[in-house]
Amino acid sequence: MSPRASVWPMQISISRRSILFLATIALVAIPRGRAVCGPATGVLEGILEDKITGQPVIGAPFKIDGRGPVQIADERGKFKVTGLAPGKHSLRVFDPEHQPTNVSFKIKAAKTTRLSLALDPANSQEEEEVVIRAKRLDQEVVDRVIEVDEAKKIPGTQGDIIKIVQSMPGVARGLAMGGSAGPGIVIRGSAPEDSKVLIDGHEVPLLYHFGGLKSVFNSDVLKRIDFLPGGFGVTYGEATGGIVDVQTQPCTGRRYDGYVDLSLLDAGFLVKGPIGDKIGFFAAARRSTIDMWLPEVIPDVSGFEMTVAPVYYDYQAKVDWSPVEGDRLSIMAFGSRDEMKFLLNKPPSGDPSLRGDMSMWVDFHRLYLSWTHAPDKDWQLSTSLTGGIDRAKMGIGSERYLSISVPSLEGRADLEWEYSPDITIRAGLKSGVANFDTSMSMPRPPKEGEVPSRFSTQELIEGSESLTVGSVSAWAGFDFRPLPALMLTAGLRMDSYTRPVSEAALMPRFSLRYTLRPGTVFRAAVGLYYEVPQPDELSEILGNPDLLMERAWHFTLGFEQRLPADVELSVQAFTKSLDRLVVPDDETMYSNQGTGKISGLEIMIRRNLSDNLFGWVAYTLMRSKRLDGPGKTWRLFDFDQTHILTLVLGYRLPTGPVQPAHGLRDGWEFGLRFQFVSGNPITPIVAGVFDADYDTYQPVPGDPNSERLPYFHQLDLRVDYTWAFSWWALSVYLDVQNVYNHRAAEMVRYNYDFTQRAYLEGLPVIPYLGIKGSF
Amino acid sequence: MKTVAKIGLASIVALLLASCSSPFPPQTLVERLRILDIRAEPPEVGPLDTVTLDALVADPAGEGRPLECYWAVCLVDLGWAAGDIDCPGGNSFPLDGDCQGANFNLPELVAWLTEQGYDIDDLPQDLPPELMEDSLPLFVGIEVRAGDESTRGIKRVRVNLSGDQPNTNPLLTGLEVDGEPLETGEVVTVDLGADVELTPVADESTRQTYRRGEEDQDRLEDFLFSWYSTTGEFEDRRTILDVDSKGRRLDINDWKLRGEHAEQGPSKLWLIVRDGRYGTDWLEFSFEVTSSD
Repeated sequence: MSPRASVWPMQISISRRSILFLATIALVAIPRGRAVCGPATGVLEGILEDKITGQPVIGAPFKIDGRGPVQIADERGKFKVTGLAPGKHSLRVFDPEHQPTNVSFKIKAAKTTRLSLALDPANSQEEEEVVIRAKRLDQEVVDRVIEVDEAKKIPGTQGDIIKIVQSMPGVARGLAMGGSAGPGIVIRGSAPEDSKVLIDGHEVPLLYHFGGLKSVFNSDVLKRIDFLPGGFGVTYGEATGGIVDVQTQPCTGRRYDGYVDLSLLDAGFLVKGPIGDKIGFFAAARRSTIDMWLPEVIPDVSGFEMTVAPVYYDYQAKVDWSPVEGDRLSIMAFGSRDEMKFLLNKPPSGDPSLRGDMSMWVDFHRLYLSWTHAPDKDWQLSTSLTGGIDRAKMGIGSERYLSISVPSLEGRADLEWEYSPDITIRAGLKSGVANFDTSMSMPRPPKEGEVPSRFSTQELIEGSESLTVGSVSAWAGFDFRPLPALMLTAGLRMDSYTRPVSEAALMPRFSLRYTLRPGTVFRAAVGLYYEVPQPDELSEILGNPDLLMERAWHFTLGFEQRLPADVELSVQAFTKSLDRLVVPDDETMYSNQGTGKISGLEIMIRRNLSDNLFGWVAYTLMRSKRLDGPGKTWRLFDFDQTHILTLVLGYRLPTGPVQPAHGLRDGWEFGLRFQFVSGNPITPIVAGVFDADYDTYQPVPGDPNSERLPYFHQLDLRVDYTWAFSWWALSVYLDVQNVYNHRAAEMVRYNYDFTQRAYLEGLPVIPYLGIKGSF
Repeated sequence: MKTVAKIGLASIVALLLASCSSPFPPQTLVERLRILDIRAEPPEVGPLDTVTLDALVADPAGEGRPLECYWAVCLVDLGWAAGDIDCPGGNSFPLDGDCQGANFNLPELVAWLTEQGYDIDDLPQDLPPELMEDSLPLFVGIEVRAGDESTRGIKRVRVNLSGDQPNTNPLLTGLEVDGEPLETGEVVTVDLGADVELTPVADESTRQTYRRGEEDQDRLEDFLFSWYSTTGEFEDRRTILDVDSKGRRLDINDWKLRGEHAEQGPSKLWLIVRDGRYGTDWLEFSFEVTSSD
């Protein structure tokens, strides 16, 4: 896994892979942090975590310089001490469940010193202790990251952490009905299928229920999400867009906790805790509640019957076993299912041949086995094996159907070796096999940039197929620190596939990070990336088995500047050059003749949680274009959004003490999210031709993506109140999307012969009420 | 998986859009030059057939102005982002005809295709899927011009070389208005502001049973009715000869002579039936909408 400068519990870290070296002109233009007028004292801030579990040490008592009142870390293990005189000081932590810890630190006038301390558990051996590297937390000055606890309270996301990623710079806004470009995330102008979402190192087949309603993975069992929009290192592959790397919590907590949650969208529970001294677990499950009330509000209309109201469920369960120090074995199972069915006796007015049963169900199930071995402090080996099955079935009337079943097996090994304090070596292997069993009678699925003819008039492609795809990947790289302020990272990755045509690709990648002075970091990265075409594009029935892998070059340049009042400025410029893109072809169904260009600038100003206030402002300026083959003209990408502005704010107002049993306290929490985004490009329909066989009009499209929808803007608010009792807590929350009820233009709709048009408006104001009991 | 989710989501969006209330005048309201249907007799071309084509053209605002009609057989790609559907025009085989109709026969068609580099095996035949090779997207097209207005329509050419189960056009025989049969040529008076129940009457002996290949099951043709008028709106744009699970007839329609699209005066109504296999028929009716005031 990627090296990280800091590890906060339950964090999202902005990509550290993009590491730059910038010209001095920019240096001169950057103001130093201004001196703050005021008393000549400094501030100490820090966090206390358990060295083994990485969990915050709630309510840990400590003293400064061995005198003065005993102070207490809060429910997140954090503390803040003000009014310290400049000079050396000492901190002593004496939590009853951990070994006493003493550290020295230095205070500067009008500055904040930050500490992260890993406390040894009271029953651990202090010497010769080997910990799992990913959980290791040493005393260091930490970088700023966004905490998951805060991220879950961001309004408009229903506490769904993966949806938080859609508030990050460089991520395009998706359709009102769901995630970007249908199911998936649009990262820095790349198509959704070009980016990967990984859970514990392995790709997840689906990210959201029903294309964007809610993520398939309960955010409360997640430890950390790394969002890597581009320029990522050799440990990641098979993607030319970005990476969302999600890690689940280790099950090493020493107490039981959990909750039951009920809302108009779904109901679920989570429970986690220890089984003896060396084993821990978590288990969570959710089921939608939409089907319980939706049929009651749908009017009884002749010709329409909701046979199966939309329903989804998901589950996650994990057991961790640490038989000896330095080893951890894990087994995890998770899965998801979406289903919906309705009956159309009368065909809809827009498409006359569509009638009968309309059904869809999609599910996947996974079993993960992993072993992490860290025999000493200098190296760690992580291995994992995952198997599962993905299935989908869809029927539209009596003639259109699609059935897919994909059993798969994948193994992975990652080695990290700290050769010296200045050199870390990384290597890995991955291998997998998947069998795509498909049976269908369906038109070819739509591709980015295409305008379809009427669905019922599209040619049906019928047949059955079994396609086995095998892959082997290997990578090696190193981090080298030739100077204290300079970090160089280089590596080489190989991805290879077996299918009707075998192909292997070598991908060099390089990045650097230079710390000009404390608080000012420059980064640069360059790398080559490959991605195998989608299964339907390689299909004998639907596509072209002779396709080659798509390719992209990434270039990234930027800097980060720490500012006063806990504020951090981040600026990144990026460009991507794409070629061998899969595009429709009249003769071979698909070919690799497409190319693309993407470039942009991301600016983010972020205030990390301090004094109960956090938030950020992110702005992206971007252009993403495609050329669909020789003789074609450049056009905008379907989700090219020139301007993306996001404002997120959160504020806590506690009104009571922390309850040690569960770490919560009485109080209010407020959240705000505002977005202002360019409208998506659209292809206008310039004429219609009457199709006498289907009593409808066939569209005649204009130039691809030659117009734009109006700007989108929306304000979401959220408020929580928690009653923290001695052994449990009750939270009530109200999440209101689109507070001022602005009906955004989501797409263009036309009259029957395309001579008139109007915008289809998005969702109105939606209040989302929920109640949650935690213990 | 993502492909299925994408298709599923796109289909759901399309269906919901199709079912949502529209800000536009309904397709059933005929206010300007329109092609409402194209018929081929027979609907499938056999080796010895001469196909007669005619089109149902409505021009309610034209006040009897002359129409010009141009016919052709074309190769049309209705795939994704297809560009202009250049039919008639482009790569086409012009037919002799006018607004009363046109005709062609298979030898003429094959001769033209041979010039384009195709042969008889490329003709679109209604065969089982496993026997269908890449048949040609063959259409007849009509362009109707009236003054500055013009409109185009296309219809698929189907070929039956085996002679097995040739498809025939369905037959409409009449219409019932509030349960009473409408006589041919009769002009019925209806009230502005009323809802009029209309029941199509079709000759069900023309509703064929067919199979797509020897392995297929027997299938009964659908009779799908399309409704058009120069005033008012319909409860359903299309109805179907069937009943739902509660026994409600799905072919009956309500003609709503109220709202912004209803006007008193003479009105035309067209009823069209399609069998789902490119067979079709239509009837035209005249009404007098009177105000009850």
